[in-house]
Amino acid sequence: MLLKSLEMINFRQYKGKQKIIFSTNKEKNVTVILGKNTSGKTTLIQAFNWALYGNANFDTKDFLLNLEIANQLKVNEEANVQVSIELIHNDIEYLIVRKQPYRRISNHIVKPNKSEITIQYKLPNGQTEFIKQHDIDDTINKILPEELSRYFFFDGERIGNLGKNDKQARQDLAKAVKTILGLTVLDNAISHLSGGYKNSVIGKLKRRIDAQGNEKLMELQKEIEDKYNQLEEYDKNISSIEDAIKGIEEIVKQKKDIILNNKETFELQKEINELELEINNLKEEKDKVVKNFNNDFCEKAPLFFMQSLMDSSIDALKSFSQMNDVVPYFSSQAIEYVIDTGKCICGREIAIGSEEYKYLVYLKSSCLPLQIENELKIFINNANNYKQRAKDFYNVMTERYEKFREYKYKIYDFMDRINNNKNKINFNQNLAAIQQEIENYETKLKHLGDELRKVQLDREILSRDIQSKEQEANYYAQANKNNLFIDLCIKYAEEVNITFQKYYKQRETEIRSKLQTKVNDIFSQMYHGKRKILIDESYKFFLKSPLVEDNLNVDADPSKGLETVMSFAFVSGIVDLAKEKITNEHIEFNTEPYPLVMDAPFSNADEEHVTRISKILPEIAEQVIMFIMHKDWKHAESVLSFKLDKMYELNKISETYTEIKEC
Amino acid sequence: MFDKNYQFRGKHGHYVNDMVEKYKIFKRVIDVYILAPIIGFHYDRKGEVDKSNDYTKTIMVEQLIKEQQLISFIYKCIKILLINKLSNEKSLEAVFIADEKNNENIYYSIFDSYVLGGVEILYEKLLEYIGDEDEIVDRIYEFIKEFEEFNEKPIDQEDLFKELNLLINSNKHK
Repeated sequence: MLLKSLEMINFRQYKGKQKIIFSTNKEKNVTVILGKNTSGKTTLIQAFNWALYGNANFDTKDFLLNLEIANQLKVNEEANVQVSIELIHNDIEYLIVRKQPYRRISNHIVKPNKSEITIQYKLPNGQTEFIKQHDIDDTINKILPEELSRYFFFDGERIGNLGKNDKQARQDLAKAVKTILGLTVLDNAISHLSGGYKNSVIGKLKRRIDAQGNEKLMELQKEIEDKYNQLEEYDKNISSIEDAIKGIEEIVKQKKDIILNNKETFELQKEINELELEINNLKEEKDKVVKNFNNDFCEKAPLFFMQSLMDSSIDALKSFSQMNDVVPYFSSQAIEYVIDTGKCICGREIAIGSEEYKYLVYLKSSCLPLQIENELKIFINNANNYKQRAKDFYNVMTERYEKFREYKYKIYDFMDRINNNKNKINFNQNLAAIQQEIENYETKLKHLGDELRKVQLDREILSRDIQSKEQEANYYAQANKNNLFIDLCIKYAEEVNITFQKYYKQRETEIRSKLQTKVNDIFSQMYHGKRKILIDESYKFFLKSPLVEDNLNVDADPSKGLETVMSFAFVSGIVDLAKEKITNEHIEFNTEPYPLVMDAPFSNADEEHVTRISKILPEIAEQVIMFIMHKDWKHAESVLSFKLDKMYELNKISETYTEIKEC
Repeated sequence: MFDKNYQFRGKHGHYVNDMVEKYKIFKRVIDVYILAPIIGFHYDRKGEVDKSNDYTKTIMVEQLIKEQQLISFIYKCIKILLINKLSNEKSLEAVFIADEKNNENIYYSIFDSYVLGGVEILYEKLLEYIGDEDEIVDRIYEFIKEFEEFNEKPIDQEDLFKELNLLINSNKHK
């Protein structure tokens, strides 16, 4: 089976008609659908389930109609939800359409009617024909039986769990093997024959033994029945203790993960410490700069600020009366000297009272008095000096200010980074408290374990007691001829039961080892090590390194990356088994291709493993359809792009409306 | 002049105290006193002595005498511009020789009101509604930048100096 397309009309957040065409190309067999969290990736898988099998498993009571459309409906108006899947199976093209009308019956209630399904297929001559209604279930069952569909459609959480070796993973694997083997019927038969005293065939037969007239036997039968009731209580008790233990173990594991993740916290904290040190240095540097900045300001600010005042006052001085008459380089003393000697510097005689003499006297009177001259001189000298001293002030201050800003913003930046780190690790801050909680839980686990062992022991004693009482009862029963036949029936039933169990065990071992082989095939391709995955009877799996002793193998390498690789090895192993199962039962030749649809396959993987898994995925299945987040696609793109044929993006417009766009 | 203790009173005392003691923008009260008249004159802000309370901040005369050269220079600059503006008789004598006739007290009291006005502006520009201490640095720089832009206005000061230097040099050889 290959998926050709999925078309949805008003299915949940996919308002209106929206369609995705999948790659059916043999070489480029990957279709990627990008979407953020809650944009509707999971809904797409549910659309497949609903179209094929009529169930969608939504929490919201299977209300599938788009809420915007539902809200617009007027009383007695109807709207349809429809999902159509085009697929190719055994070289025949099928169109499967499931439709469900919704009607508003009052202002507050929109009610779904029964959904209807039709299947069309294309004949070799190109004509299409409908499958008859009573053949529809059978047709779908041949294409992809419902119980096997979950082994082609995986969500991220399940993928993650499969690698974890916990209860859920074991149950999932056991169920897969059981389903794929078709052992469910056998399983039911076994429990029908021997499962419990009250309802099983053997139990009922035992209760039919005639004790009439035999007081001892009657007494024994009563006793046995009581003991069986007690046994049932023990079983209930054991199961609830086991559940409690598993629950607490899960909590402890989570808490321990937090402590383990503390390695990251440690790195973050280390960076915080470094940044804090750096901030202290920067603060010191900044303080120094500010100190210099302030010192300079305090000392030189007047010189700087008075520049224009100085310029204006000197400019003003020019207009003062004496300034215009002053002869440059000519002092009153020099003139006095010429007058006194009566001879000019050119040699000419200066007679008292002459024109020359009068002019010289006038010149002398224009010259500044000595005191003022000195004052002016000092003033100008000072002005020059102050000007000089203020010269670099602005540049120096600017330089210091820029340094101050640089330090300041660096400090801000570092503080931001510290806060980011702190946010990341704040939930780990209480590690001591977590450690204490773990210890408390572990004490609780120890108590529960003791209790479990005690109850199990009691049960064993009781069980042996029942056995001996039953033997005793049997002895008394033999006395009554009526009971001989019942005894024979019991023996037959027990024999059949043992045969069933033997067969069941044998088949299960076979298929488990097949699964193990397949898982290891893929595992060795993804993980280049000599290690092997071993699956035990309870579907617990171990990594076995060839050179390590068995008792050390159990805990070998619990790293997250390896966990992811293992989970994908299991996914592909299961897909292979499921394929085999369908092709063996329904198709003569077993080359039928199958899709692998995965929702958020990389949600738990790191960058390195995303690439590693991406490499192997297109090999696992003939068609790979992935719903994936942008950030994961970034890492997968380089490896998968040459296998990529179709790509879509889920554009979440609102909580009730997502649009599919082809990229 | 500048030969006895000087007191900032009332609000001016508080402003000065904030600038010197609290935020350490200036090391000494006299540093404010030196800068304030320049700022007051630039913004043409004249302040009045605040007698509303008894708070005072004093500059001792010894300090004034130590800084007299710069203070007198600033005073003279302002005085030149005041004479230029107010007086009909613009003589160098009036600038450099202080006496009753030259209305020295008038110039000084105007100078003093610029001191007070300048303190007010400094306080407003640097400290009023201040946030953290880093903001003071920002404000000081803004203030400097504002003046730098003002100073950059073309004044033909090179020529001015040349001319005045000529005058000075003329007396060098006596």
